[in-house]
Amino acid sequence: MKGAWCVYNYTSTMNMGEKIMDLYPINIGNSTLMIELNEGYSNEGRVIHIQNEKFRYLFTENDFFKASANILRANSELRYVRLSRSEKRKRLISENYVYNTSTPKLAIFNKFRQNNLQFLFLETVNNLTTILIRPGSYNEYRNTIIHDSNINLLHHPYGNMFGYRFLYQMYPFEIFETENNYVEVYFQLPCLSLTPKTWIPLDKIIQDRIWRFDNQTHIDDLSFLIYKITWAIFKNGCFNEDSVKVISRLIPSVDRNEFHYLLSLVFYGFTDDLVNYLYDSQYHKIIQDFFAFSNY
Amino acid sequence: MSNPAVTQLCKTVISGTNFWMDDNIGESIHVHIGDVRIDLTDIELNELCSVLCSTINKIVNVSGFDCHKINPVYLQDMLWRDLIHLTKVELDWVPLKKLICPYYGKFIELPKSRAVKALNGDQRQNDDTRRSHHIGQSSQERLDSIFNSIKRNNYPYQGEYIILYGNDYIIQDGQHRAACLWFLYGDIEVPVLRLFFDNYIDFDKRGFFKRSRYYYIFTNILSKFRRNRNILVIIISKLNSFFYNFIKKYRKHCYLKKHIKQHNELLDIISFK
Repeated sequence: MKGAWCVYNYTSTMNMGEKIMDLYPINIGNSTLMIELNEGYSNEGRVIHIQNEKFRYLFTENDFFKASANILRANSELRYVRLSRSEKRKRLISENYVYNTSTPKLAIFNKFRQNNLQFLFLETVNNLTTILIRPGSYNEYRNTIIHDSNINLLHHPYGNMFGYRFLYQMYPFEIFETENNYVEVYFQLPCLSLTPKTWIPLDKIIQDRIWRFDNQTHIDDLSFLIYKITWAIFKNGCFNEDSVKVISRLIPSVDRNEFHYLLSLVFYGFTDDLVNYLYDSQYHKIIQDFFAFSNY
Repeated sequence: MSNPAVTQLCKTVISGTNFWMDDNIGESIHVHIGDVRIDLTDIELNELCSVLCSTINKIVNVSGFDCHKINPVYLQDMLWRDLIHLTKVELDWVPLKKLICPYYGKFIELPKSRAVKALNGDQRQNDDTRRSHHIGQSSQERLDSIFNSIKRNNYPYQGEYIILYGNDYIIQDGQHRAACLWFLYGDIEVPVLRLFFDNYIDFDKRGFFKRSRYYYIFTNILSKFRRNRNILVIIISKLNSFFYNFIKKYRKHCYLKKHIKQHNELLDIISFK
């Protein structure tokens, strides 16, 4: 913008003839800024300064109207979105699918172990097994599957081919078919953003924590719990019966403080309410209240 | 970790600088100006909006104009450009049948407008999406919510009037409200707000070309070129994105042709994980 940022000594300009009048103060955090109407430098018309003793931002009059109109519109959109999203997500649905606790014994998993590829089982649903591979082992993974004639590489339905983006250097999902089973590969625990068709990885603290346990074949309960909760809220928009069963089974086995801390990395100010709802099994309240949450 | 619960609330460019706002549930509301970000709480945003409305009133300084009572969607979509030219605001009473609805350069009488047709059951009139809708809001939802609001709160509600410019009867803001009033009460007189600008010519006083639909199309194209004067850049970037999208769609089509069964199976399982 014209003039843009300027750090200057407020008192030195107080006596210059540009100022027309002070308009209104605005408070941001502990700072108070004054909106001031001024004459422009040459023939640009009047200008608006938003400033305090240490800082000034300059708008032309038209730009100020444009910025203000956009902020007012954003506020209106925020009120609407909170109401409409929470109204639309009141449901708790049940779907018929088989959630398995045992993982299939596929030759490809033996190959991964032979090639010292670190991976963990996440879950098995029907004939789809989801595994998590350590991000540093991406090249070994590709080398292992690319030369295997029993592997039929597919495009993930939520991958790049179908318009999904992966932010923050996240590896896209992979998926392949082998021995009449599908294997879905993650390199980080994912979370679907509210920004349409965008995946982001869960916090680095959560990702690093997954790999700190030795001699494990499956992901630890706490990490899996965080994954299921974020999947239910952001991807499904509801807690279905089977995910409720899984979450209810796992919650008593995790440390509440650590659980609260890890959830706060994803849900911020809503974490207290979320933890209480989960421990009280009030799943029907979670999503509606999350999208209507305004206490921040 | 970046907050996954991010909703973009508005986005624009102000004198070459990107300006956008997003809501991060549980964290804060972000105002982005270029590479700088300001974090606001919910209360701070409300207070800021109130101050901005008061500030706009003071800068505009026209008797009868109150930014608090202007629809923010209309303000952001249209009115902000002309505020600098506002000279007078008047309250007037007009019969509904005289009102005209603009629609992409066409001018349609209110009784024959798309909103009235939709209220009478013709859903084809309600199948588009507009900048003037809220995030995720369909045309039908918008019309329904305004209809219910008029039935519940009557018109005008909270001092928000249908807005006309100059001495015209072309509705600048409030087509849906006018349509709902027509549907509910027929041809009645309603209060409207007339805004007078020093750069606005009444429709009857315009030349033939400026009254035609082609003028609307012409000014739209001109505004696009004004933003980027290098016509060659525009053409090349349009061609580039056309071919890129074509190749992407072709690859997707070929893949689905070969693997449609597995794709559908996977979708079923993953969708209900």
